[in-house]
Amino acid sequence: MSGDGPELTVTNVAFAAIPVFLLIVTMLVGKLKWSAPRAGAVSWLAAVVLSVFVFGADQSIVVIGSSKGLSLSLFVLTIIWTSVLLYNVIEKMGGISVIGATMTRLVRDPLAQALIVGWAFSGLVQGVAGFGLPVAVVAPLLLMMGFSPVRAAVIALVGHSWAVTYGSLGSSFYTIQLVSGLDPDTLGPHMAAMFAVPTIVTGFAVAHLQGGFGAIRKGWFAILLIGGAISVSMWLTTVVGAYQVAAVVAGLVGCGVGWGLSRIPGLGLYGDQPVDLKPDNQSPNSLTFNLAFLPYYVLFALSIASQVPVVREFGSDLRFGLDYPETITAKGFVISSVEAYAPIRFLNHPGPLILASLGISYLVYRFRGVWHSGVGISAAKATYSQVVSNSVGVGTMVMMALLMTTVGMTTLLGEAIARATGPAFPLLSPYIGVLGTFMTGSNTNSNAMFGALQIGTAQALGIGLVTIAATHSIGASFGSAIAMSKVMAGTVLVGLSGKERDVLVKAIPYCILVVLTVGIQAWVIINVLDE
Amino acid sequence: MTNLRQNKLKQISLWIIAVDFPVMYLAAVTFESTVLTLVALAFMALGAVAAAVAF
Repeated sequence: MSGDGPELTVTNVAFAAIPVFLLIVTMLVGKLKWSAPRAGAVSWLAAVVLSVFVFGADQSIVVIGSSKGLSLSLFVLTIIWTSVLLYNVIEKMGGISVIGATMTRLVRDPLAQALIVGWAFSGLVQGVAGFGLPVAVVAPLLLMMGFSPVRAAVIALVGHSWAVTYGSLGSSFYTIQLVSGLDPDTLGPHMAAMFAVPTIVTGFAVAHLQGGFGAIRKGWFAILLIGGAISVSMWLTTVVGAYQVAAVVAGLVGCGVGWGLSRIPGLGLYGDQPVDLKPDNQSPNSLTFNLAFLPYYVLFALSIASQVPVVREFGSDLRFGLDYPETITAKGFVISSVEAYAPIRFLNHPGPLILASLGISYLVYRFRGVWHSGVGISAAKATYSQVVSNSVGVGTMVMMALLMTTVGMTTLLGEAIARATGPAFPLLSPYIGVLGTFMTGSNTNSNAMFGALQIGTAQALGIGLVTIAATHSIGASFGSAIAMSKVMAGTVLVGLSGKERDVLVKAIPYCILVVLTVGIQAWVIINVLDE
Repeated sequence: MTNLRQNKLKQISLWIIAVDFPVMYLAAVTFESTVLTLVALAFMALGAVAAAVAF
């Protein structure tokens, strides 16, 4: 992505900010409280008008940018549709109450549940698969364990965000390394070390979400231990150069340490409450926990199998993705052509994997005689009615984001933030990462979009390139907590479709706080430690 | 607007967006047709207006 693009003037920046401003203000501020689809639709219409009349796009560029947005939406929505279907099938079979009761018995303390499932396990899922799957899996799990819908969604969103850069087998890490041109053996461990403090802060955020300051007082030592174990294992994994499994290893270690601590009285995670197993929690058709959880077991196994090099290589061409030509606006902003944009790879995209896990589970259920006729149809009908609002919201918002990216509005906003901050740049640098993830729903896309800009600004200011590259990607990683596509996924999966605002409003302060620690840390490293 | 009509309009907006996606791609990328591209864009704008009204 390169080109002269629109001139960096106050007027242009103000125009470029209008769609984002509209989206945020109409959803979050005042009495408007628009739903995501309405805010997304109006913001996209504004972006279309501005693209044509201010940023030099013709009808073809507007349509290509919007079409790219729908390609990316399809990538995200296939995860949402299939994971909602999966949840509904299990729910219609009576498996949800079985899973919820059993998991509550395994880890009895609610704080331990939030930390182990919502923080460590969600990071593990992100490490293995990513692409929104942690939210899709963990939010319903927390709901089953008795968390309120908003709390379940926000814990999953905030909790998984530490694992995004090294998640999806390191795809975001490799992107920032490639666009920055930095040595991976230098950038990898440096970034992993910088992840430590904000990762632990994320643990405190999850605890606060679960039970307020009381939960923090109760579990602070356990949070430090789990967070320390996650951080050290992630750093060690990057030191040996295994970037692609850094989040997987850290997530596994976090789950193990968390579960171990939940067995020790006095550390705040010990389940001292009586187990609430009411008779109506028993499934009438003798569905055991393992059978109810089978689709998730199969999904996890398929996700791991999909990352085996032979499978990846074999499946690399089995994909659906549209090719897009190069676009040049009248202002000279260039976006290079791309082959198979946002490809849905049939052997490792979560959507097909979830469908495969459902198919395999269906066969087992039929074989074991626990499948009820009509479950599939009623689950599909429920899924359709649940995803209408969500699908329109994701589609319109991502169209707006990709149109802004295609005509240079997003780059202009990033440049404006970078230029305006000057010496305070390290403090605000991670928020550029957040902006990229908020707009595109992806740490990888944020790195591709703004990585070079961050490096260029750091060079101009004469400050540490490695620290700024790391700071950007870490900010983008934690920005996943408020990425609209993920918020929409979390919302619909806990049955709050149309109430995205409630989830977003609750998630934003935690995201800002965590990212603030990233910025302060970067400022200290650059200005005090002179790195 | 009654709930039933609003619900219908929500679904209409979804299907307009879904159907217009391949049309937009074909118009702008495959056929590179200005007229088709403008029609596809107008259709998508209609879907967006429907969404803004319905949701």
